[in-house]
Formats: sequence, C-alpha cells, structure tokens
Amino acid sequence: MMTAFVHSISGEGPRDRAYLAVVMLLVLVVFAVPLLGLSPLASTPLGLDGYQVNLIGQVMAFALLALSLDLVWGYAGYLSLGHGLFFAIGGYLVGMHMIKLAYVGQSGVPTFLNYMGLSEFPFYWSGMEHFWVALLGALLLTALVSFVIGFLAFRSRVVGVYFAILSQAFVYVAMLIMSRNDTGFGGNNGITGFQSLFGVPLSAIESKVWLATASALVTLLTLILLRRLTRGPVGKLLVGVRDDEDRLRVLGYETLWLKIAVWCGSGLLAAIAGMLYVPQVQVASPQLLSPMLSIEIAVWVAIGGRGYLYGAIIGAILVNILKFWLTRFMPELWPFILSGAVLLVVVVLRNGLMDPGPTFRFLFESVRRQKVAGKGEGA
Amino acid sequence: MTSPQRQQTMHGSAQTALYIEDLTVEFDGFRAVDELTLLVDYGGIHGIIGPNGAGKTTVMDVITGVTKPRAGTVLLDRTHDVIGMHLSDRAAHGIGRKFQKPSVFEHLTVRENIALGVREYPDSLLREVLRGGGPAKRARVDEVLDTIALAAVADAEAGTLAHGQKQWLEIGMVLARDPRVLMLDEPVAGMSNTEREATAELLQRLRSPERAILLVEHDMQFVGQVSDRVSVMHEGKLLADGTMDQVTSDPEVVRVYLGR
Amino acid sequence: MRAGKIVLCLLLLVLATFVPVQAADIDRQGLVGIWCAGDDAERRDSFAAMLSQVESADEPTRQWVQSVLSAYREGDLFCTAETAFRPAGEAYENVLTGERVDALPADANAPFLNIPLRRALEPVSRAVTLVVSPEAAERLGAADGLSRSLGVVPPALIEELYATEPDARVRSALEQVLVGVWLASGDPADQQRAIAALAADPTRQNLTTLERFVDGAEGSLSPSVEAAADEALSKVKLTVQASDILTVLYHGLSYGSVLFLAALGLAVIFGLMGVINLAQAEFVMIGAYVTWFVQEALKVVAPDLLDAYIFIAIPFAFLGPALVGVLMEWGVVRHLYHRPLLTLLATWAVSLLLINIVRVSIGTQNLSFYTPEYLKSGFTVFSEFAITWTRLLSIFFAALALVGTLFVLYRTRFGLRVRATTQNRRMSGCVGVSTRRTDSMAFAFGSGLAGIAGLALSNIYNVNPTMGTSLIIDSFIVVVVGGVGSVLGTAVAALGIGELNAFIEPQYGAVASKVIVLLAVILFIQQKPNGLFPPKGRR
Repeated sequence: MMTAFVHSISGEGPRDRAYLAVVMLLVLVVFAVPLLGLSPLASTPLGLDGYQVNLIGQVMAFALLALSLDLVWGYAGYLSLGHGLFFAIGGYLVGMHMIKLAYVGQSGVPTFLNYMGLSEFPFYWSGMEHFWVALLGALLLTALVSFVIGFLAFRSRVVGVYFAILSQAFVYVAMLIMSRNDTGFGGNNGITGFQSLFGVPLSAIESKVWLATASALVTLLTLILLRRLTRGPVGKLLVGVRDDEDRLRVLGYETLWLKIAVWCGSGLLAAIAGMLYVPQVQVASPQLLSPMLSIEIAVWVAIGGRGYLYGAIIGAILVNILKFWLTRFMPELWPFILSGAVLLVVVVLRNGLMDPGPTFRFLFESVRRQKVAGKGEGA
Repeated sequence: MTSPQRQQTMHGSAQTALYIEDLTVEFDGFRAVDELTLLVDYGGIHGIIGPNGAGKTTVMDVITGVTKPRAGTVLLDRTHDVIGMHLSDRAAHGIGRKFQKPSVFEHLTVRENIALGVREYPDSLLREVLRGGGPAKRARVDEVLDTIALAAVADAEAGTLAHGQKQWLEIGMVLARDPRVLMLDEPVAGMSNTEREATAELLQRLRSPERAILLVEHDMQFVGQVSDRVSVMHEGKLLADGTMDQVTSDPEVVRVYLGR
Repeated sequence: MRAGKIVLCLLLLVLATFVPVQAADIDRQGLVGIWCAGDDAERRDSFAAMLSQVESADEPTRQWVQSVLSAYREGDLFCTAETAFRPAGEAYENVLTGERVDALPADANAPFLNIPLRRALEPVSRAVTLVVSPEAAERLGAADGLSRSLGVVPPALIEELYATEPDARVRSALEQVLVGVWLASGDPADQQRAIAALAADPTRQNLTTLERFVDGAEGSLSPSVEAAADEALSKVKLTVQASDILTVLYHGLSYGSVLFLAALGLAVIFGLMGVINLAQAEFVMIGAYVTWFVQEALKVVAPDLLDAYIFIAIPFAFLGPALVGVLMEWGVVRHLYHRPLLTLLATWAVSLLLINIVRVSIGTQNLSFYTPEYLKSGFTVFSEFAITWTRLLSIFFAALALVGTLFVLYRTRFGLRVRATTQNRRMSGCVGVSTRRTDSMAFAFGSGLAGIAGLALSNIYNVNPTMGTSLIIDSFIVVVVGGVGSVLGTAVAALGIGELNAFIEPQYGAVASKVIVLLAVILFIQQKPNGLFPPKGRR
C-alpha cells in the first residue's frame, strides 16, 4: 500500500526522475532568466520582458513558500494554515529596509508614520537601512514567533485540525493587528513606496531579473538541502512523528524538540520567501497575512502532492501561473477553477498530481465498491 | 552484570525489576486500576491475564507514561521513580513496550524501523541525527534482525509485511535498545498456530537474567506455555498470583472466568 | 420639513386675510428692525423681551414669531431697509405685510449671526417652540435641548410650562431642565426637590448632574441638602453601575448566542466525524439568504404574513442548508474520512465555491431585511439597561437550537445513533447502526443548525456572500474550548467567549478583544487540552 509514498522517502525509481526533472527546471530558470532578460537575447522574440520576469520571480518565491509548508505538512504531518505569518514577517522587514533606504540622508518620514504623529523613525527602525540588520531581524523574529507558537502548540499536544485552525487563528489575528493604522505599518495599505534594493532601482529590469534569479536559486538550494535532510535520519524521524508519534515517544524520542526544530526551520524558509517576494510586488501589506493566502499555500502543496518536496514546487508553479493568467483575462472564473481543482485533486487524486498511483486505485475501488481501511494519509 | 542475589529489602528483592504499589488509575470516576500491588522479577516471563477491562493494558500505559495514574508508586530497580520520569527517559532507563495494535512505521523499511530503536547517543537527539548510523548501529540492527528472524525481508517496507511479521518487527524495534523491562501487549493476537509457535520460541530467546518480560495476553494457553509466573487481574485488582497451575486452580479465578 | 413650512405659510396667509392684525402685544416691525440691523446687545435683549411677550400673545402672533424666528435662525430671513422676507415655497413673503413676491429685492440680504448670538438665540427658539408647538414630539426635542442651556429663558416660564404640560415625556424632559435650575438656585427646598427628582430616575446623565453639583458646591450647601445629595449620589451610582454590568452581560449573552448558533452545527459534525467543516460559515450565509428569499416571496404571495416572515422562514432556513450539506457530504466529505486535513482543504474549496456562486448569481451587496414593527424597539428595564428585541430574538433562537439539539440527540433514535457512532464508530457499525446514513443525516442536521444561525443573524448582521468568513475561526475556537462534540460544552464556551468579548471590546476595541480571546484560549488549551467537557471513556 501507498508504495509511491514510501518511494518518496527512501526508494529509487520514477520518484528520483521527477526530482531530477524539477531540479533541472530550477537550474534552467536560474540560467535562463538573466540570459533572456538581460543579454542581447532580451530583444529577440525569445526574450523576456519585465512583466514576465517579475511573474517568474513571484512564482519562484511562492515555490519556496510551498516547500517550507511541505516540510511540516508532508513530512511531520502538521498542516499549518498560518504560514503567511512567517512570510509576512520576512516581507515586512525587507519592506522596512527598503523604506529606510529611501529616506537615508533625508529628514522626514513616510506618510504612514506622519499619520501617527511621528516626525522621525521609531527605535525599531534603527539600523534598518543595512540589509543584514533587516535579514537578521526577520530571521530572529521568525524564530522567536515560530518557537513560541510551536512550543505552546506541541507541548499541549495540539494536533491535526486543531493545529491547522489554531495556526489560522494566529495569522488572522496578526492580520487584524497589522490592518490597524495605529500599529505603525501603514494599516490596510501596508508599506510601499520602495525605490531600490542593493543600489539597483526596483523599476529597472536588472532588479527584476536578479530578484527572480535569486528566488529560483534559493528555491533550488532549499530543495536540494531538504531532499538530503528528509532522506536522512531526520526524515525517518519525521515520518515516525507523522505516522505514529506515540510509538516514537515510547521508543524514547523526545518528539517535542524535533517538531519545534522542524517547525521553526519551516518558518524561517517562509520568511526568506517573504523577503524575496515583497521587493518584487513592491508592497508589504496585511494581504500577506490574509487567511486566504495561507490556505492557498496548502492548496499548492495538496495539488502538487505532499511529502515529495518537488511536488510542492510543481503545485505552486502550476497554480500560480494559472492564477496569473486567469485573473488577468477572466477574473470571475478564477475562484471556480481553484475550488474545482482542489476538490478534484483532493477527492479524486488524493495525493496530488505527482502521485497518480492512488487515482487508479480510487477508480478501481469505486468500481469494486471496496472499502479502504488505510492509515497513513500523511496528514 | 553480577548475578542477582536474593536479598529482601523494603521494595522487593534484588531480583525485582518493577515494584508497583497501590497503583490507582481513574477515567472520569471509573477505576480502571484499583490499588494494585505487583512485583515483576528479572530473569523470567511474567504473564498478566484477566477478563476484558481488568486493567492489564492500563498498567502498561502507566509504566510507559502514556497514562498518568491517580495514585501509587512504580519503582524500577527499587530506586528509580518511574511515574516521575519523562516519557523519553523511560526508554533510556530500559523500559520498552510493544503495543496491542501493531505499531510499526509502514512507510519505512524493516531495517529503518529497527534502526529507529537503536540509540547511539541516548542523551542527545541532535548528535544522534548528525552522527548516528555508524557501523555499531548497523551491527546492532543486523543482530536484532537475526533474533526476530526477519533478515530475509530487511529491505521491504514494513507496510508490506504480514500481520505476524509486523508483531515481530515491533518487538524487534523495542529489543534494539536491549530493554531491561520488556512489555508485550498481546503479541500473538491474530496469529496462526505456526506464528504463535515461532513467537513462543522468540520469547524464550529473549529471556535473560538481566531482563524482565511482562506479558499481557488473552491466549491462556500461550501464557501458560511461556510464563514462569502469572498474575490474574480483575476489575483493576490483583486476584491471584503464582504459577499457571496455581492460579487456574484458585476458586476466585475460576469464578471470575466461568461467570458468577 | 419643506411641505410643513408651505402648509404653515398658507395657513398664515389665510389667517392674515381674516384676522385683523393686532400689534398691541408684540411690535413686529420693531422686532424685525432690531433683528435686521440692531447691534449684538440690542438683538440679545430683544430675544428676552420677545419671549416674555409671546406667552400671552394670541395664536397668530405666536405662529408668526415661531416662523420668523426659525427663518432668522436658519439664515433665511432676508432683510431690506424697511422690512424682511422669508421663503414661502418658490416665492418670498414679506413678514410684515404678508404680501408675496417672486424674487427678492436687490438690496435684501440675510443678517449674519455670530456664534455668541446663535448661542443666545438657541434656547429662546426652543422656548418658543415649547410655548407654541402643538406637536408633542417637537416640544420634546425642544425640552431636551433646553436642559443643556437655559440662556435667557426665565425659569419661571419653564415651571409654568411644566405645570401645564399634558405629555408625560415632555414633562419629564422639562423636569430635567428644571433640575438644573433648582440645583443652581441656591434655595435648599428647590435643591431638595431636584435631588429627589434625580434620584428617582437613576440614569448616567443624572449621575453626571449630581456629581457636578456635589463637586461644584464645595461646602456651600446646607447640611441637609448635602446629606441628601450624597445619599442620592451613592444610590444612583450603584444603580448605574449595576445597569452597566447587566448591559455588558446582556451584550455578551447575545454575542455568545450568535457564536453558539454558528458553532453548534460545527461541534455536532466535528464530534461525530472528526471533520471540521470550513464551509459551515457559508451555511450560515445560505440560511440568511433563504430567509431573505422567504421574505421576498411573502411580499409577493402573502403580504399579510410578511410580519411573521422570520418564523415562517425557520423550516426553510433549516432545510435549505441541510440539503446543501447532504450534497456536500455525499459528493466530497464521505470520500475523505480518516483524512481530516484534506477534508479541511476540501471544505474550504466548497466554501469558496458557495461564496462565488452566490456572488455571481445574486451579487455582493448587502441584502435588505424588513424589520417588523414588533422587533424595532425594545424597552428599558432600569437605568441604562435596555433590552432590544432583535438581540433578544437571537438569544431566543440560540435557546431554541440548544433545546432542539439536546432533544434530537437524547430523545430520538437518530440521536441515539449519532451518540453511539460518536463514541465508537466500529462498534456501532457492528451492532447494526448504518454509520453511513448517520453521518449523512448528522451532516444535514449540523448544516441546518448553521442555517438557523443565519436566520437569527439576518436582523443583526450585514448579510452578504462573505459574511461567514469572520465567523468560522471564532466558532472553531468555541468548539475547541467546549470539548469535541459536547453540546453543553459548546454552549458554555460560546457564552464564556461572548462575555469575555463583551467586557473587553468596549474598552480596548475589537482587535484587542480578538487578540486577548485567542491568547486566553491558547493558555486554556495548555491547561485543558481536551476542552471544558472532554469526551468520556478510555483513550
């Protein structure tokens, strides 16, 4: 049973080919984007314009976000419907960095701080003009927040749907807080008005190309890293947590710290995704914290197939390209397509596009009307 | 190890592996275990029998740490307070358990399952994850594979095993850490006669002067066949204690088993 | 307003033609002259003088004063050298002669009223209304305004009006005005009267009045007055505080009822199948839409029954979502048992689908609901504690749902099957309970309960396709705190969270209350991971 699942963790065969294909795809993006976006090739019919490069970059950031969720959901079995929280921490901090950068050497503050009656940046903005401060701040804050959430939830053994909804509650409350103008981060409109990053104006094609390339590169490296991690001892332990945590605990494993470590790691990856994403959309707003986005991350992973890592990447790429295309030409249709796709994948495919095995079993079973008593949904 | 000496102390003799006194477990007012006192010795197989709901599994749950008792004492080697121990420390102190429902990790291979049971660095999970998996670990896994006679299927996924093999595999996972107290909850439930015989042989192989084996089983014949000592539980209390012949001739036990 | 003015003007016109002008009591020309051209002091004096005369004036004069005064106040009195005009329909009327012109003379302009003048004019104009107006409602408005500032209006006039006023509400409003006068009079007898009147009606406003009086007096009071004032103050303060607490409790009860209604169906389904239905909030929305359809249908078919639409809609609001629930269970949920997290995503997809079907087919605007007369107001129990019928109705529906659910679960065969399946699914299957059918019916039942929630919300909340989104997290938290599948636990948790919310929100705002509730719930889960009423039995 569920042989495909097992292969994803230990076996050889088609799973490895799919993994290699996704690695190749990411490598291709890493090289093709600068080549087709910047070099003389850019002006040929093969070339990419700013919009296309930007789109690829956003999709790559989303792929990284999906990857971070697959680590906790696909391997440890904990579905987070609140990963937008970490994504937003990264996003807001890189946003603060770019705002501060725009005001270096000038007096005055952005309108949203003016609104609060402030004429200079509050203390927590100090040093933000240095990228490394923002990066360190984002990582530390994410580690802190994810640790607190993880510790509270895992210590009292919150599992399954409880954990999912609780994580959603966190992101929802965070959205409410950040939507208020007096929180000091621009309220509903968020912080915007960025000008440059690393000295490159955001409006220039160069910045779009480098951001997209960086997003693809980070996603590629993370995929390789997580693949190694999940195929090693940590992966085995995570599968143990997912499938029978009590067995593992009675074998003498303190699963609490393992889960917290993986949860925090996943949060950090999501924060990095946010740091790559916000400069590309040029706004950090409570939209990053909307429960809808956090659920959509899970949808990408579910559609691609969880527990394979590359499945999450494929899911994020497919869904988001479809979304960009549809919301541009038929915005009314998108919610219907999305909900239809989720129902189709969840009810019929069961474990996503990357795992057609169960599909045929499902059809087979429908005909034979056999009941499955299978555990190990991986959820 | 020095051979155990018969030396009577406050909490049993030197042979005593587990000392359980006045153990009480309640679920919403229902007493699953009622002031139970029980001694489990090293070197033998101690069977616990009793009708459904007698509290046999609950006693194991308490020793494993899955359930918190309302009152009572459980001591390991007459000194270590088991109830106060953290769940993962109990395994480090040599308490191992096979669950009633076969609990193996179906998506891992047989070898990987057993490897999860071996700990080279019992104190640090981090070190285990980073440095574990050396030759010592592999040797131990092979040793266990031989003991439970699953070497032939070592690289198969645990999910593909037959029911009896899963039971043995779970025993193997627990065995990997060389437990001093090995608790087996219904190891032969759902097994064929041949499988049951094989399990009986396996238990004989597991006997050791430094190990206490606690066996909960519905199959009276099996318990009689392998156990040195049998305790009968009824409604959370200890009804009788002794050899199989002694307890089965106890009128109280007969009354409980044959109806009142 | 305008129509009223026109009627008034026509009336004046008719009167003006039949009744000979009596200029004996009020010098109309002099008054208009001062109002148009006098300096501030003259104008102010003229107000007081006019007020003293208007009471004894005859009816036409009173009407004239009121109309010209109101035009003056509104900046609609256009002065020329000799006379003044005020608008009368499309035309203008010469206020002295009653003669009408189509256009204003070129030199006509409205005199400017500065703020001190306006302040002086305001109470006078109210007093005139009190004297002149035949409408109790108008007099009430005037009396309410007067309690803020009496200005040059002589207290004796108010006392006289108070003595002759026929309408009880106006009388009590006038009493309020007089209380201020009495308190300020320095006469111990009057002050005692005022204190007694204030103590008899312990509202927040009266509390403030008393506090100001006691604080402002600073030992200048006679001992008896001071004692009476202190006693009245403590009594009123206590009553107002008690009514405040009751109001908050009542608001908490009503919010808790809404939470309970939204969470109850969720709890039943979650307890039975371990399925969190994220589309539950959309069933609430469907319930509200069905209620609206019933209302619209009644408007066409049986307008006489429109007043009772809320009650007629009950079966429809239950059955509509129940039907959708059955379809959803059959099409989606039953394929996903034992896969709770994927079920979560699937039900989210259904909720997205439902929202967008409604959005596309009906639209995103808020639906308008007809509020029957009997639901419109409420009544004041005492002091500041008032009960509004719409809130009471939601509490009523919550109680109905609680009793109904307990009845269904504990007194019917279906309920027995649900309870059996909740406790031990496999065993129930073995003893012949069709767990498939039980699941399906329970899902329908839970969805129907959500529909009733939608019905109860239709008069309190904005009804639109996305109305459910904010409900689902709150309802889930209620289910978690209550303990899985426990109806009573859900009720207690809903009330607890409702009350917590009602106590926090007025002081710290909606966002803070959400944050605090979430933190409280997380701390609670640390202590009791299985909720208030954990499921019984061995695990």
